[in-house]
Amino acid sequence: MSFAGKAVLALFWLVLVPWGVGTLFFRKEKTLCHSQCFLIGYLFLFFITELLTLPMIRLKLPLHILSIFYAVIGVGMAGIGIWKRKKERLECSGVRTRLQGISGWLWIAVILIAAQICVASLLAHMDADDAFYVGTATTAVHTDSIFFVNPYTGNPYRNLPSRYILSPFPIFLAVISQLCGGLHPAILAHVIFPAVFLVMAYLVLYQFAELFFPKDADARGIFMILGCVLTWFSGFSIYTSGNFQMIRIWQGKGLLAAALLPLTIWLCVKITMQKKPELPWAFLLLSNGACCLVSSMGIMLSPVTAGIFAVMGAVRYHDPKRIVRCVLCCIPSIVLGAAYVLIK
Amino acid sequence: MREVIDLIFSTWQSYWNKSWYPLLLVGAVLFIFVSLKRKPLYTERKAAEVAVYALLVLAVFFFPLSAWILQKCLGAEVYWRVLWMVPVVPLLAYTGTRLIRLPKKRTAQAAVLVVLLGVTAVSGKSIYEGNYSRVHNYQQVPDEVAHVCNLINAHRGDGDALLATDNNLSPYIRVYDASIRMPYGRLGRGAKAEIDRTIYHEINFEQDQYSEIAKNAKHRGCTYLAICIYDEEQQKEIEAEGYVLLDFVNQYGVFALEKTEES
Repeated sequence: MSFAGKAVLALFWLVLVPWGVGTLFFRKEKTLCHSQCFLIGYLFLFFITELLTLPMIRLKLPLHILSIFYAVIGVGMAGIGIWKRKKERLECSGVRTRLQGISGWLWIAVILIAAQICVASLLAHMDADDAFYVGTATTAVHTDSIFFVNPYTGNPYRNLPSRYILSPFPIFLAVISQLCGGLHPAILAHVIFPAVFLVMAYLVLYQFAELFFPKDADARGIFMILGCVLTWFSGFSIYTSGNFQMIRIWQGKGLLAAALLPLTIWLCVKITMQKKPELPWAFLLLSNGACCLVSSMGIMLSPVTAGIFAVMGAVRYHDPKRIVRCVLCCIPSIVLGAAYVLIK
Repeated sequence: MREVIDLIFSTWQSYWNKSWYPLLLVGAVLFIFVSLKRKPLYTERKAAEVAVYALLVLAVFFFPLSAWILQKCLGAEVYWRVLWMVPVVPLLAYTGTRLIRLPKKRTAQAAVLVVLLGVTAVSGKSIYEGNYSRVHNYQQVPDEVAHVCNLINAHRGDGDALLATDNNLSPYIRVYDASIRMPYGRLGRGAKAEIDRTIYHEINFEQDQYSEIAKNAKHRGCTYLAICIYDEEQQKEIEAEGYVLLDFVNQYGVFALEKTEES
């Protein structure tokens, strides 16, 4: 398959399918918000990848079986979502209408983001952690196996890396690589993922802009310009979330810091800090599952974030049930935490 | 407990590393609370909630007991990742936007924006300083790695390849081509046998022992060797053990184990 064909497939699997899956979750809404569909679609797909991958590692199934399951679920749900949308004639704020309403400030932000994406995709950042994160994906694709072969050497594992198998984000990379006609995982990680995930990170930031300035398009544009520039100048240490966002977002921890933790915060504000939640609690469950997939840090940091908000909400609305609901939404973290202690 | 507290402060310092972002964050949070009206608007309330959350995360970060628990669970060496939970960019961008929207005129707003962008640039450090480079392979690994792998693949045909190399190349070899096996990976990880660790140590830290490196690599069954060659003598020492030079990639000599009749 030609490179262009693989790129089209990447667009399909990394943009269209997540968006289509996301539309399923907003069926009760009067108007669809494309960015929220895209973000929630990803949360669902990440969660599903986690749920599928862990038993398949245990059963030592080949990678292509996982890819088939992922493809069937992804395409199936996206298809149903789009079909339902057509059938129920959900009003969708059209792209043309939206483009007309965009402020000049936001266009400046879009140009800045596009420039950042170009740099991240076209130039190279060398990170030795890729030996494991991308190496696991190239190894999985080459051997058609899941965490069976050590990425450092190419020999079968003696002992599975207990911390990493619980957050098998490199396997997501391998699955997408197979689904994109065998597009090399390193190309996918270093060229395609930064483009998709930087957009994702800025869409999350845009949700904050809409949260803070729902009726002021100019303010949202200014907010995004400042967000872009603040991230751009967060290279003062190698530890910052901005640093991870800009130079290694293809690694699960980078995606966690750049998009998933901020998305969890936004969801918490919309869910736990409202008298009547604006979004379903299930989104917090999806978000927790997604954080578990991308990084072992996510297993811990996601419930801490949700927990702080749950306590804030419980105090504010004198409603301790919020804490119980939050605990239920953190079941993936609880289960994986217990599993880690057992297999360590 | 003393260690926990020391780690809290050293983590805080190394995370912010002389930038002014934490000061800006304090300013932003103060602005949000001070500007909060008695009956705040929905949006102001939301910003205040995010600010309160940020303060609670910082309380969790600085409080020794919670810090101790998190350090135990996450690992003390990555305790700084707790600070990822602080929504620095949304809070600073919110405050900045409120300040910019204070003047009515668009030109005045643009002027305040320029000032704030300047403050941001001075407060932090551009991410693009020294982080990106240009390479000539789509996989975006060091060009040396791509050339070494291509040389090996051109030579081996359908044969197996077991490559020993140093720590500059080893992290990226299997990222570029997972069909090439290695006795050890990045920082010697994945080494199974003592001889693997010996080769790793010799090739990275005792570069004068070329004869020993080649002898051990041959004994281990390494069909390829990529090692920095600084003079002809070093090359001869490796060739004396049965390796032949395929080519040079910059300073790296790429050697293949000669096939003997026995093998």
